[in-house]
Amino acid sequence: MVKIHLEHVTKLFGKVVAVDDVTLTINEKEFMVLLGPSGCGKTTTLRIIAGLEEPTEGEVYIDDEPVTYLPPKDRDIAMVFQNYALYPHMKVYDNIAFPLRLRKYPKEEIDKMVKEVAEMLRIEELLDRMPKQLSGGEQQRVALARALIRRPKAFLLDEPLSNLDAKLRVMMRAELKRLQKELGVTTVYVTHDQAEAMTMADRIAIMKDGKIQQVGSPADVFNKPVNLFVAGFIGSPPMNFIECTATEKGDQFLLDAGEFQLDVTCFKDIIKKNATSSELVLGIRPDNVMVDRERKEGLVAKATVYVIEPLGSETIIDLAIGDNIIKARTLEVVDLKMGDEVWVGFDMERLHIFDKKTEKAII
Amino acid sequence: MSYRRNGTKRFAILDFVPYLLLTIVIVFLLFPVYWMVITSFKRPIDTTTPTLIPFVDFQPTLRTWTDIVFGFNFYQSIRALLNSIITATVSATLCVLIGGAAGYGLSRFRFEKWKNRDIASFILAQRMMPPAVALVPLFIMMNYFRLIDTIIAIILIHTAFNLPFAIWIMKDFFDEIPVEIEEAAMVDGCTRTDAFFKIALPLAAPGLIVSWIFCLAFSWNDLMVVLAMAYNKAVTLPWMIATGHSMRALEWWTISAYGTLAIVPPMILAALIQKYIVRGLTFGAVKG
Amino acid sequence: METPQKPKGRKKVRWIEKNIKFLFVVPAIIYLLALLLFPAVFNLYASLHDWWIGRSPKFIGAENFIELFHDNRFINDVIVTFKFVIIAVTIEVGLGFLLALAATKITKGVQIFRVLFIFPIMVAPIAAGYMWRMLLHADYGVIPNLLARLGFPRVEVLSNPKLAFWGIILIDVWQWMPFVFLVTYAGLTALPKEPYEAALVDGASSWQIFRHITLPLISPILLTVTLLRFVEAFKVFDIIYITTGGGPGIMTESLSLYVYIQGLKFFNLGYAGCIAWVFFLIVMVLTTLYILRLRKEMKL
Repeated sequence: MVKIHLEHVTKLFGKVVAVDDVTLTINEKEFMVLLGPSGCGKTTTLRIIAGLEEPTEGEVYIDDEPVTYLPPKDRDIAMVFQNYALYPHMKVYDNIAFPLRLRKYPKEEIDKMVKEVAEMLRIEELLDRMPKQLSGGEQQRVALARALIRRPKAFLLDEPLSNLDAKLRVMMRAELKRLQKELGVTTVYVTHDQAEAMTMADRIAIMKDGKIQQVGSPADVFNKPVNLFVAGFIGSPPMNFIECTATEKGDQFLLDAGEFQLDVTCFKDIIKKNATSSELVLGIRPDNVMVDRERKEGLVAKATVYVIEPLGSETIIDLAIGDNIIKARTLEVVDLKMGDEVWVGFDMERLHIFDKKTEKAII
Repeated sequence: MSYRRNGTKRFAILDFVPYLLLTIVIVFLLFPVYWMVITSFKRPIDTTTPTLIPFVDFQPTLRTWTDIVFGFNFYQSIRALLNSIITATVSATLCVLIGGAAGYGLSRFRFEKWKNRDIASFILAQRMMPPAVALVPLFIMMNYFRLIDTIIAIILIHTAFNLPFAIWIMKDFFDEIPVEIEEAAMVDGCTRTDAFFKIALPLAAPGLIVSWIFCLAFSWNDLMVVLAMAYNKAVTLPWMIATGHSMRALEWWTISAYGTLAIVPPMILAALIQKYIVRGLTFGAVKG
Repeated sequence: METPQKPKGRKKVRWIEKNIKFLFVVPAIIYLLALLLFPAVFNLYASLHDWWIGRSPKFIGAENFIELFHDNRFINDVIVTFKFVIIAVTIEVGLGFLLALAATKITKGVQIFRVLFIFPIMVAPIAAGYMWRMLLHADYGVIPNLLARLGFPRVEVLSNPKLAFWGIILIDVWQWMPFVFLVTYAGLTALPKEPYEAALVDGASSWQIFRHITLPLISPILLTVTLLRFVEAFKVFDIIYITTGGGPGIMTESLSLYVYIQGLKFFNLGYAGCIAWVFFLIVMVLTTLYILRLRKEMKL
């Protein structure tokens, strides 16, 4: 079993805090994605696991063994870099064989294993070429092959798809996931692309400013974001946020957004218990915004159609409610035009409410 | 239609002017070199008249060259040539060894107390200092160690003068190699030292060659240090030109032969690394 | 989970890993300090003393410096050096840049020109000086011969009070103008295409394109190469040593030559150290400027 565990890991570069007290366990055979905007410390975290950086504080364990001060070569992990880091002075074959040669494998065995892994990644024809002669996608496969060949304890990938074009990226996403499941290698994958994270991960750790914000399955982080940052980062188009104030009117408990009021009496107790003030943020995903020309049951706000973005199978409608622009997504055929007046409602089951001050999720 | 014809005609002339200009300049640049080389093949009598073309204007002869190699002062000329070769190659090699290591260190590690770029700038500033400034103290130093008129003194000083250049250029070359490649090697199973020798060093090979050739040429061409530190046993070709000229003012042919010997090796080496000449001479500021 | 221990056997290895960076850099630093910092300290010490080789130094404070600023020869040499640097570099940069512009108009054969332009740079300055001495020789030189045929009087350029200085300028330009050419040509060919296309679309004339696009884009490189030539030209020694020896009189004597003469001909260590310091400070200003440029160009 291969399990990676980070215990209160902190990394300082001079006075800059790159990783701030991160504690994280990556389970056996798990595909863990570290997700966050650039500069959030995800790559540094990965490099600490690899042994390329020493943490300022905290410990790293692989299989319950403390490895914090072990050089990378003794950790038996493999890593794929964003720019692939192929050895430019070696042929593809030698690139792939390099880790085995360092471990003094017999020549025939190396040859056999190189052929095997090349076949698995469909790069048999490229073995005689130099890295410079390869396309981005091919280089990427070679980098993967070099990492896979020695059956490492764990697999670390640092934005491996970000240098590929969009089409190839989507293709490689599926392929990487299949490979990981077939080989059953514990994997840590760093990316800033939430779509990549959602499609590939078993679990996602979302980071910001060196801190882990939330760890959970893709469904978890999508449906139950713990704070405004996670809610806004996951999902495309992103969640709509509307600032509002909680008010009580008789028995009713309302969220007042100025342009409209939303009855949330059903959440009254939770909000009262958890909110630090009456300043709240309403969050709703575009999928859960309902739009109609007529005022129907559950539609609460009047809006103007701002822009229509047809995407073929679906349509994004930008709606102006007062000064707020919110997006709605629908799979139905839309016969609206710019400037049309419509009524908008929210799916109460999928409603999120955040505390404006602490940014934490209340519902 | 006539407008068009005019246009193309003007264009053709404009096209021709740069060629003409550059050709004239090339003649200006190469003629002195040509003149010196042919002078070394002239009979003394022919050097007093402006004769240009071998076999047409004058009868070329190898006499000067055989005099240099076998004549009465052959001992001195061969020794000067050997000294030139030894000092240039040894000091260039020292520069590349010490400078390559330092360049790698400055490129790859973070130094806390003094920032990397401050160390690098301090080092480069040494290179820009006029050598004349250090000449007297170095003379006293070498005198103290009884090294005057030895090639050891010349090698040590040339290495000191050219080392900053080698460090800076090597740093520039190492900076261009992505760190990830070495990191990949370390994850693949290399120690840091392995990564340096198996990955970084082969990749920096062009840089090593370029710095070596530049340091070699600087050392080979230097006159001032040799003039100050050597008077007999340790003299080099530039010294022969400088003093030979003052001793036998009109022996154009002999000095031309020394001159030819002195200029040919750096020219050939420079042609080999012509891609990197600009980069080297501007200390990496212009990549060329 | 047990607390991770740092095993004893590793300690030494860890120490090396931690300090390996110093192992790379320290040899070079020590070498440079020994051979280049020593002269600075020595010069400073010597400059404050009345010190001739073979005698013991006598402390005289700033007297050397005071004498220096009343030394007509030193003042002459400062002026000669500055005049030389400014005129030579101006011509080199002007001509080199002009030729580089011309070369960008050429489609075929540029490669050959570029290689040929390298040669003068690599010629030992002493050999360069010597070549020109031969060419300029009043009786046997090619150039006076040619000029004589055209009716000019035969003059020995390098010992003529009016012409010697310009002879040295000529040699320096011969050697270093190609360098400026190569650098600016490299810069010109590396300029981005888009601004030119945009300007053509906007209907700019070729002069306007040059004035408003080429010049601003190339000026950082012109500045770099000018500064570098300034720094290097200050060191001029070899070509003067072989062609005029500083003469006629001291009309072409550079600071490098003067330090050399005071230190290694007269063996006046104190005074030579004093000149060296002043000289060093002058060049240091230019050096600092160049290094700041380098840092900017190379984004250090």
